[in-house]
Amino acid sequence: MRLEASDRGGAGGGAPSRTAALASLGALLLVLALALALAGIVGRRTFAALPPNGGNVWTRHAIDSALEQLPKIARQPGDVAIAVGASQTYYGFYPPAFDEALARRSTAITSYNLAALAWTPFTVRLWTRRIATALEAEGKRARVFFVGVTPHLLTRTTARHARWETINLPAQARFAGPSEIALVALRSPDQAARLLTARALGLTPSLMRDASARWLRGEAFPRALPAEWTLPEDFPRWPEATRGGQPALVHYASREDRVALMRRHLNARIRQSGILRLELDETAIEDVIATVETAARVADHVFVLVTPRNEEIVRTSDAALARLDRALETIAERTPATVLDYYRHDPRFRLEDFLDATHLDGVDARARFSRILANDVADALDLGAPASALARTDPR
Amino acid sequence: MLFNTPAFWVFFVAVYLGYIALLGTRSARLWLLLAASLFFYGLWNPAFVLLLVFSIVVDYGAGRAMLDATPRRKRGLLVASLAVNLGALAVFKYSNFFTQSIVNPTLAGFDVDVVVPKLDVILPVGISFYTFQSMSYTIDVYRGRFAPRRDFLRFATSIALFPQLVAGPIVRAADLLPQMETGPRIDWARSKRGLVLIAAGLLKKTLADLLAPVAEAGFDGDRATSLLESWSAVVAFAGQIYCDFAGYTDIAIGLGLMLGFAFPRNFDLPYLADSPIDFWRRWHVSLSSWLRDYLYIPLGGKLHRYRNVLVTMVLGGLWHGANFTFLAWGFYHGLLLMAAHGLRDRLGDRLPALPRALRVGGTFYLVLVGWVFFRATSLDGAFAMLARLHGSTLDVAPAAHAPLEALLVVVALGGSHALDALVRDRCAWIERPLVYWPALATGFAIALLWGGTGQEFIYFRF
Repeated sequence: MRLEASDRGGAGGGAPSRTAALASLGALLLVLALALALAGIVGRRTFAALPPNGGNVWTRHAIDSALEQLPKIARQPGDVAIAVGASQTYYGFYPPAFDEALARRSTAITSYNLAALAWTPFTVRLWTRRIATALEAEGKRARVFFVGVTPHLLTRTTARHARWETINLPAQARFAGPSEIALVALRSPDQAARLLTARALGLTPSLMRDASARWLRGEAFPRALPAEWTLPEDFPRWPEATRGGQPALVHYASREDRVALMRRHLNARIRQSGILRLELDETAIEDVIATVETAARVADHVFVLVTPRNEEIVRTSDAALARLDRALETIAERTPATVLDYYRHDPRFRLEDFLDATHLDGVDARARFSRILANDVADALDLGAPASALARTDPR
Repeated sequence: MLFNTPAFWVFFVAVYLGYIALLGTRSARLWLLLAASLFFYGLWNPAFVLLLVFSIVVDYGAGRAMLDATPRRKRGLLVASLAVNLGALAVFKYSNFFTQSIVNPTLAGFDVDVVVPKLDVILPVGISFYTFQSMSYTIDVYRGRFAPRRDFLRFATSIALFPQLVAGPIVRAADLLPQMETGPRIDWARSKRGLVLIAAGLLKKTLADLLAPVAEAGFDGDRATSLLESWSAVVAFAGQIYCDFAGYTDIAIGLGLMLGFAFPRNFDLPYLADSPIDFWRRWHVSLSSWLRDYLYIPLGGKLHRYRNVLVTMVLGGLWHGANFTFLAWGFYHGLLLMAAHGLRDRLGDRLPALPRALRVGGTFYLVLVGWVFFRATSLDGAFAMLARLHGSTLDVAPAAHAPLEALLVVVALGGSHALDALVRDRCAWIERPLVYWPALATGFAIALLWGGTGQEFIYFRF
């Protein structure tokens, strides 16, 4: 057998044309630029046409309404409390009840719920940077800052599932500046490129698909959303009177109805987030730590808040709870925050207190939880909150 | 990093810039391609770059060692190379299937109180593709059809070249290595065609992602779908898998052309096939021809045609994944091919000449039945879907949007083939600047708007 001819002293290479290659590259860049411009025009028009909706939290209405509040909060006289986080905080923290309960403990405070549905730890991190910048611009410090942590949004499954990216990308694209994009690029060049594209287009592709599906089916909202989540189109973007506290949304005809919906919701979260196993993502935990550090720049007391679990439905394994404990301990050790964990076990909240598998009901439970929280916070403030602590809730 | 994500295009532009700068220097150009390919692969999982490199080194070493070796030694080297490649496949792809689906149930059947634990392994992306490519080199060298190569850099680059690394087409060493040796052929006409293929591929991938929810609703939904919705789901999956896979290979071929390399075509309007035999000449051609040359013919080819066809198709099914559904899919296609060959062998010219539309329609129906096994997550699920397709849920009313959805599914599938025909036949009017540039920009823009969420290509799992 012989070696191939080109190995036998030949030059082993043709003379490809650099001019043709440069023309090819130029053509590719031209096509990419034209495509980006065209997609941007179509995308922005489509995005602008979407109506505000409680479930469609990815719309710019939710993002804009949150951004619009910042100057007002920064200029608010007196002590303020700010809560950020995902839907568990959005539905769980009710400013009027919280403020009233604190007032009874002789602490006057005006609180704001700046959480948003389905925001992942990274989105909350970017959002908190925005809040800190707005407060610093006015020289304002918050008395209390809640960083809401939703355990199932800390998981590796959440980090991979398209649903969360679909919801979060528009907000991230809106909040991220060059330094944040550089940070993302270090973690994942893919994610950074998607972020840049979302900035250029003003939307995410999944959003475009949802919009197309709605248009084709003649439906008001994406079918994936439970009907109970939809709101009238004239629903106020920012509930001024409750400073972000959302009204009660769900009324069930029977307990069976409620349990059936909860189970469907749980199944979705198992698929999208691995809610029962809680295989935690280190990057998400680092995001929470960074969020707390940012919050601590502009707040006297930072609390990491883990809202109650619907224990009858979300039967988290012991191993999963142990993983969550370790993560919360890490956060408590590495930051100046006090961790208030109502998730592990809190018999004060039962199945009837939840509107679905993971959110406190707006009828009563949310206000009750906010009062409990206010008392726990008042205790911590009265005692002088330790520089860093993990507080297991003490059900009374 | 997926072809349908913005990050890939940043990567490709950067690599292409470097490639242009190094066009005059063979080694540096190849090193760049190899480094870029390993980086591309490593972004998915850095640890598995070692496995890829190991596979390359083993086959390169086996090929070199066969030079002037005795026939006995050559056979030993071939067996060693196949053992390493197939061993990697066995460990990463089939071990858990074998232990959990075959060994443990068998032990339990004999009341043996032993449970073989599940191996905690993940499937390295593209392993089925690159091992087949790499093995083809060793086998061809063993057969004396291809001279062993001395230049490791060229060999490694030909196996790892990123456009075709993870989901094909399966480019044999005999196809790509000579191109590496003569140097890339970059010219404007080829690049222009490459860009058309890339745009067509992105469009197809977008179509695939749009069809996916319809298939999911039928196969994975928690309710029994109506007759219309069941057919929609199966046709949607036929469209999804075609657009997904053909889209990927279109982009791969387009990128190859821009880099100056020609890859073989992998699809040729498969749903216009007029018999199961014709279907396999049009579907995943690089795999079916690989299986023909390296499995079917060595088994004896036509000598024991029916047996060999069946064995080849069952193993082809298993190539797609370690699951009884893939085995069933391969077995089903094996039976179809046996029947088709049997009819042709026995009746020959006496076969009644059916109208082509009828033959195409019949073949499409048979292929759809096969896709049910391919897509279902279990054999029970597959048979339930087959029952729904044939009227078991006539009492279930379709959703209001089902007729429109069914229409759109058919339009999407037809559109994908129309697009292919347009690209394949190189219609002259596409080349006109007033058509070419807007069409390309629209193709990329549609992919940006509706695709681009980084939905994985289906064949990455295989």
